[in-house]
Amino acid sequence: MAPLLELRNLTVRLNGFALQGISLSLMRGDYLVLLGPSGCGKSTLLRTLVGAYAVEPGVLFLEGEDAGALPPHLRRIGYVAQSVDLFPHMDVAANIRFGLAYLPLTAQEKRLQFERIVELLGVRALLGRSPANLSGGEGKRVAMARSLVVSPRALLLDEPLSGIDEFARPEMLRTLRMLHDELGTATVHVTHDRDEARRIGGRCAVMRAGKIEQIGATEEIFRAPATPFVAEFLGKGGE
Amino acid sequence: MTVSRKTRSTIVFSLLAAHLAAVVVLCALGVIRPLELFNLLLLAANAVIAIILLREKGDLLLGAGSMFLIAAHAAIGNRLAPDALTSGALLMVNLIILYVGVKLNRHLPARYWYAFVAGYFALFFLFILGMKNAEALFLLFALGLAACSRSMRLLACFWCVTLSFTFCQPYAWESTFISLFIVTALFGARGLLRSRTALLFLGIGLALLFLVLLPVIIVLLGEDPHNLLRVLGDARVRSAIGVTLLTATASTLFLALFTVPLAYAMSRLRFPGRTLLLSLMDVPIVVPQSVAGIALIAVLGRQQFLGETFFNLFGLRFDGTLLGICAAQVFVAMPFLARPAIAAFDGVPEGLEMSARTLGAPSWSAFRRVALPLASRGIFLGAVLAWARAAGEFGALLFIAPTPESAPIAAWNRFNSVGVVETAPLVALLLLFSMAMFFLLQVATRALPAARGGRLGD
Repeated sequence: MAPLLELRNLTVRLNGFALQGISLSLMRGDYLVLLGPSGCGKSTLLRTLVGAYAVEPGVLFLEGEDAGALPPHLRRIGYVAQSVDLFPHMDVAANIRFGLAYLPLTAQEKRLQFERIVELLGVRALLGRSPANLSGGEGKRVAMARSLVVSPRALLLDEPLSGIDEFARPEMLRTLRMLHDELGTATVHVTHDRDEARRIGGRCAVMRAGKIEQIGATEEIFRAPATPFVAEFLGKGGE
Repeated sequence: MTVSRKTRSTIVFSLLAAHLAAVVVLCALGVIRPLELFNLLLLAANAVIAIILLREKGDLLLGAGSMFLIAAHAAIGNRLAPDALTSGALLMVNLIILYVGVKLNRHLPARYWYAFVAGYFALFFLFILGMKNAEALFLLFALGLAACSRSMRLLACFWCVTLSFTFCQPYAWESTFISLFIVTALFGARGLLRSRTALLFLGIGLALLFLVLLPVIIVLLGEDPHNLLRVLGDARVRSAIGVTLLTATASTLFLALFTVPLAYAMSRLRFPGRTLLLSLMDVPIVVPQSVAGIALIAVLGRQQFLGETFFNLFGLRFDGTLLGICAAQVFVAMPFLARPAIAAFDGVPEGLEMSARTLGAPSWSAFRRVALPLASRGIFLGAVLAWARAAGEFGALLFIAPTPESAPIAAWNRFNSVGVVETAPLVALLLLFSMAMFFLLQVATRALPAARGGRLGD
């Protein structure tokens, strides 16, 4: 079966920065952590997957089909930006409901889906609030609910633990794991934090300056770093 | 004030003795009659105060001061005032002023005391030395000063009114209104630093701003409502106002229809010639109104190619029609909507639209449901400016469409035929109309969403 998402030697040039020769594949139900220092191109990679930048044909595949020219709204890839980007002119409920308008579902089905996701992420108490009055963690939850309610093929999370205080992070990690277990949505989780990557486990790709340095099982990477950079970058996080 | 019992009684008795001595001497000189009721009352009052003070009650400064004032009035009161009643009133005023002065000295920082004393002398110079026969006014204002002197803000308001009515006589009300506004702003100003520099700028800036707006304020406040209603009853005036409201609204709607989408494109896309286009949009601002009018006639007028073509196609003329008014208004008002609209779309983070796209929204939908609502406040504000600019257009209209008569043209025609005095009510009415509309729209703008305040996390 073709991978859900596949990159073959992807190169993206922006002014002053480039992603070079990125190849990776994401299967159904995968949980991939993209790990790397700030400015290494993790977020650019996510935005490329979502469809923010043009890519040439033969590089980006979704379920075996070339999706390089597919506009963002037809890709069905959920994306939670680091700044969560909730719509400030709508309340939380309207934010979550936003994408349902584009699904070929009956009103009843949409309601059920909405209720299910709201329950799953535990945001029922927030429904009437304005996004401006949410804490960092609450905002992330709402943004994830908004993305998941349309049952995306994959979910891209850009630093999902940023803006959440130290003590609430384990809770957020549990939520991420629970969501993945419950929905099985293939997930790409971007972080710059070694400990976070290690705690999540699964698969991990270490990036540096627009390139993937090493990709594999997280434990494997921590045990046997392939390059001096990876070794150094992961090493300090162990203690 | 803590003084020994001995000093206290010395002061009290010497004041009482001075009072008595003065009365005796004046009686002996025949200046006053000894058994006059007023003099007996004064003596009694001083005796009462003396007893209170001797029993260690009451405030020594206040009491001694009162005794001194009463004694002084007993001695020279009838010289100052024509009769006992006036003299009594004068004494009461002086006592109140003494009371206020003493209280300020006791309970408030020294500057209140200085401000009070300085104010008292300023009033004295203003009314007693500066004006003739203004003693009553002086007393009135001195009482006002005393009443206001416990609060710096109140004191500032007092001086606003006093100076407005003494120095800015023909425009006393306008001046009062303006200065009170400035004082309220200054004393109400809040800020993390409450920087004195910023406060100074605020005061000077507001003063100059009002100076600039003075003609408008004077015309507005100078007309009585009755006059305005009479002008409004004039069919010609009503029709002119109607023409202006109609054409300005139509022009703004037309502008919005093509400027807002263009602004969105300008904000979201980078394309060759974008900078040039941005500058071109501002051209109407730099073109003098008369030039604009002639240019429009040269293109859209009779026997001009575009004008004739339009006439052949739709049977509509530009010169001397509502359409012509709209053409001129669209031309001059365009930048006032285009610029704010671009800025409004620039203020909507692209990430929001990106989110919408990943949720399945096609680009049109992302524009309609995210970018447009969030930019709506800025766009509406621009539309209000454009509307005001369109409604106020005069120069270009004079050339392309002096008829049907719009409001600015009506003011001009009236001024030419009957002069400034007769035109003033009409002008005030037009001002009132446009300002009311302007403020209404500004307030309505606040109800619209803005892009700010939506960011979460970091």
